[in-house]
Amino acid sequence: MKIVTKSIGSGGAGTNKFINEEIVKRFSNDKLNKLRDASLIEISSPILISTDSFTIYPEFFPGGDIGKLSVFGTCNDIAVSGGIPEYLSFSLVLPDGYDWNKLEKILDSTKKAADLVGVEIVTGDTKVVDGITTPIINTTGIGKLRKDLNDYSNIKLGDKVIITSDIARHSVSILLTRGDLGFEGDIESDCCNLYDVIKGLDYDKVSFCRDATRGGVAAVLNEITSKIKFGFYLHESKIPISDNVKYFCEMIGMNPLQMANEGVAVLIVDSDYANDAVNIIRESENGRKAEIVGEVINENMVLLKTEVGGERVVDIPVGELLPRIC
Amino acid sequence: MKTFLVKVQGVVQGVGFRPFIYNLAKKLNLPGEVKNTSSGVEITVNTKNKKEVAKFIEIIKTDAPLLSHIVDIQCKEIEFKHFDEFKIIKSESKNDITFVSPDAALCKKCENELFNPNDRRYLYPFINCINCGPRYSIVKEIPYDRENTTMSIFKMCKECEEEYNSVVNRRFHAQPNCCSICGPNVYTKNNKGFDAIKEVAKVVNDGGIIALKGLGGYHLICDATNDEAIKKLRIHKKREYKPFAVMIKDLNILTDKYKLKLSNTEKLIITSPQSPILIVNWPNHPLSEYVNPLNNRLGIMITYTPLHKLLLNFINTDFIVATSGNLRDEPIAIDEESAEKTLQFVDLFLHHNRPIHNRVDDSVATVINNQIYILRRARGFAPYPIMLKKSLNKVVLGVGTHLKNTISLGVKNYIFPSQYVGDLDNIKSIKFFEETIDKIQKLFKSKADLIITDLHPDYYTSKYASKINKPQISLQHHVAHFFSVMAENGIEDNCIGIIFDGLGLGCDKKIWGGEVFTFCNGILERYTHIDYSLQIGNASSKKPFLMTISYLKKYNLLNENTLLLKKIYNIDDNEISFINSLLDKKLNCIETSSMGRLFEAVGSLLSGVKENEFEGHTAIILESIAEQSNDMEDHYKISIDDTIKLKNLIRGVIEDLKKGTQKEIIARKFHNSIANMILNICIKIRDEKNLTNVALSGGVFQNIILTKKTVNLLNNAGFKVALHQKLPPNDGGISAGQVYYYYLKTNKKLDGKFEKFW
Ligand SMILES: [Fe+3]
Ligand SMILES: [Mg+2]
Ligand SMILES: [Zn+2]
Ligand SMILES: [Zn+2]
Repeated sequence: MKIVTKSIGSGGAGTNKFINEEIVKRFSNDKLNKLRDASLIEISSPILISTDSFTIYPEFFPGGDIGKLSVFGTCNDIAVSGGIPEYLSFSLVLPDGYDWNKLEKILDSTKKAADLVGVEIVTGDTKVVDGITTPIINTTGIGKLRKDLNDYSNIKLGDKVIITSDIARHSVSILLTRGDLGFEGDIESDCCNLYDVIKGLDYDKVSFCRDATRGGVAAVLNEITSKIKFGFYLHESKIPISDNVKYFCEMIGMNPLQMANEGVAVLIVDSDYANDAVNIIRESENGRKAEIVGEVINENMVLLKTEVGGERVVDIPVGELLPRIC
Repeated sequence: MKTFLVKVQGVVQGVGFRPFIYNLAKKLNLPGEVKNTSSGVEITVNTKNKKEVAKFIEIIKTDAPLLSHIVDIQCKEIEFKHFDEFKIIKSESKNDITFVSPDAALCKKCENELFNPNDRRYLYPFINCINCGPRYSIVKEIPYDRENTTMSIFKMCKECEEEYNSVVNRRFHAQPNCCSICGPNVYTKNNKGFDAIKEVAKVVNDGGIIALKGLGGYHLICDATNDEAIKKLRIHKKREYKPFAVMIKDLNILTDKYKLKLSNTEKLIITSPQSPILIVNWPNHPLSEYVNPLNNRLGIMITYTPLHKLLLNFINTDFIVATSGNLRDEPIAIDEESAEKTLQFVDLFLHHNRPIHNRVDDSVATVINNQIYILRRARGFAPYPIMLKKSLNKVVLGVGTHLKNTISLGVKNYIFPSQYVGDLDNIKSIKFFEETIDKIQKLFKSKADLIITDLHPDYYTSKYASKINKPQISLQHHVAHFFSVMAENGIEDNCIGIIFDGLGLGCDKKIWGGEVFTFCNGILERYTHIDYSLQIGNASSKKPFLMTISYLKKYNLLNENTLLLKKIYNIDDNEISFINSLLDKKLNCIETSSMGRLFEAVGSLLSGVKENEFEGHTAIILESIAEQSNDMEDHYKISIDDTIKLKNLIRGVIEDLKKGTQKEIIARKFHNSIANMILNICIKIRDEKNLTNVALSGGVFQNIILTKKTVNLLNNAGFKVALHQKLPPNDGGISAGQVYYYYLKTNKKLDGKFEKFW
């Protein structure tokens, strides 16, 4: 079996061979191909820049892998901030002895994801280290600003809340692959390109946008609530979630609103635009399940109208998830 | 002639105590004076000798007004002072605590007037006097004067005012005094007063549901013998199983008409001024089975307001359902607007225009060991204080827990536990919680210096406390349970605490709930606990069958019993193996020593019920099954070494099930096993540490069969058992325990690592 050795990150001949054969050939573009110390790019200001390091176990999961995740993760941050992702850096930290075939698979899916978003990978780095078992990838993205969608002061009373896809799928898919739980029915991660989901919207009518990654929809809305004087009122019956994800969450006692997604954005839009917005989002491949799930209210809290009729507070756990039902 | 100073301590203000003393002194011809003071009432009186004053005090003790609560009377001779006659003088108290009486049920005298055609308050639904009527529910501020109550919007007519000002009148200083001319009245959208009451009564008679504004909130009312009406109510309240309380006109209905045997204690409680919902055992009762689909127990209260009395007078049936006027999980409605908004399904509303300031639910009680045992503490009991022997050095606020919340304010020698607040998942309950904190501090004119919370960081109470810029202590949940039962029994040291409960965060970041504490010469220790098993997050609390599987797995009984599980729970191999692997991978799992989970698991195993509709649902099922068999001594062995091992118990239950032993017997044996296990642990501790006091608390001790059996065994073995009587054993008692912990910590020696300072 061909494996990763320290030579590809050492800076010597092995590195050159790796960069040329695996990186440049694959991600080829006129900036990268020059292999400068620093790539020269041109971009109109203002720009958005975002970085993220990815480490996930297992690195391959239904619906994606760490390569795809590392492209979409960073590009989605740019997209939900109101930008169009254009360039990406790509840095690999690989375990010594890592299976070469797996590495190629990751690089292939990285390439595919970058093409889907339309970003060019223009710089990067590779290191090989001991002490890890799966790759770590860092990406930094740069994008052109369309309109700032991360300005809390744009959120106004009566705005509608849209969730772009069914929730908790990424988290559940990872747990299932990790656990070998003998659970019937495959659940795929929702890992996808969010720019494609929201690009058709009239950004002037969107007050705010954020992707609901770690901590889920609950974390996003609570975070916003802590920054503004308003809060949110959600309707449980409207929240998109697939049946098997819902069943799984019930059985393990987790709240799907608090679980991570990789392809779900929370949008806050003008109330009279909400219906149009949902229809536009639903036209995209990963936005077919979009729903208007609630609205901005005067109460500085996130409330959920439950299916049994009460109005529950949606909070975020302080530390680890501790049960509290007596 | 000598002069004596008599100090009466307790709840003696706003209950007609001074006029009582005045009239008594007049009758005995004793000159002197009486006034309100910081902690009660002070009487200065001239008598011939010591014997005469002793007789005076004796009468005070025996004849004190119905709603007073004397804690202590002290008497000493002082320098002679001359008095011409006996007088009530103005109190000079400044920063002192004044008590507020709880709401009280209609008294006999007022009831007679209510139905006397010659009385000026004939059929007037707000008749009251110094011995009865609204108190806490209408008080906004102290002193308890009319202008500080919601009655301030009604100006007394001349006749009422005369009664109010006459020392010899039963309505002297009765703050809510009123009549049909000057006071509040009832109305529906069509009718007013008496006609309105007749109109809603007809709706009930015709099988409809009404919402009636009562004393501390709205009631939902329907005919308790009408299946269809109750089924409809269950649909709207989204409650399939949780028992509804019922109301009757008077005690005779039960004892004479239906020949239900009640103990004297039960009779005393159900007819007391507190008039709680009393849980009674009534096999083959004449009510609809939908009132309580779970077992033979009925929660019965007697009409405690004139309005309810009048209503029942026009209702054909002897029993009405009178359940709290709320939607599931919300606090009861207290004003017209919110009632109309949330209870849209009712056929007719009966409102009135006397505002409710403090929302108070009906209290729930039963009898254990011939004494009252409170399960929900609200109307009639709040805000009675728990007295402390010494003063607190700070104003301390215990914010309680997340579910079944109450709060408690500790001021000077008192802990004031609030009424039942509810579950803090719901925004309306959260508002009620915050409102109660504001109101109780205002009421006792004391601002908290220190807040005591539970260790659990995700309880709303903890989140609330973190927003408040005040020093805080976080106290372990079950230690607070232990201290709550010690507080009301006045125990300050040397006690065993058996705390069996559903869930609380432990100091080791595991979930606790089957705890044995020792408190010995000031040192508090977790002596032992139920051996940890895995619980799957909140799922195991909602789905007790997950816990059944967890126990079987832990004790290597799962593989050989999958067939049994499949049969009982109607589940397939896939589901079992899925749950099995969740437990294997410890996915969202946490270790728990909960006793509540064990009761639920066994209840679910015996009944096949997989999910709890409400807290403790399958545990209640288990108790109901046990109730079908007679008391006996049989039990499963539970071994105790460093922890309490459940293996033999679980195996015993399973084997009996497979042998085809009657479920009633298994359930009874299970209860006995826990009681015997408690006894054995207590004996072991007595041998080691010489402790003979045992305090029982925690939600599991809402189980009457278990509590009775345990008390019996312990008493027979020579232990002294401290039980709850003022506070509930469930989480409603926690806030008072939090304050009491601080009291003992600062006033006595108390070592132990059960708290966290911020
Ligand atoms: Fe508890
Ligand atoms: Mg990021
Ligand atoms: Zn009266
Ligand atoms: Zn009047």
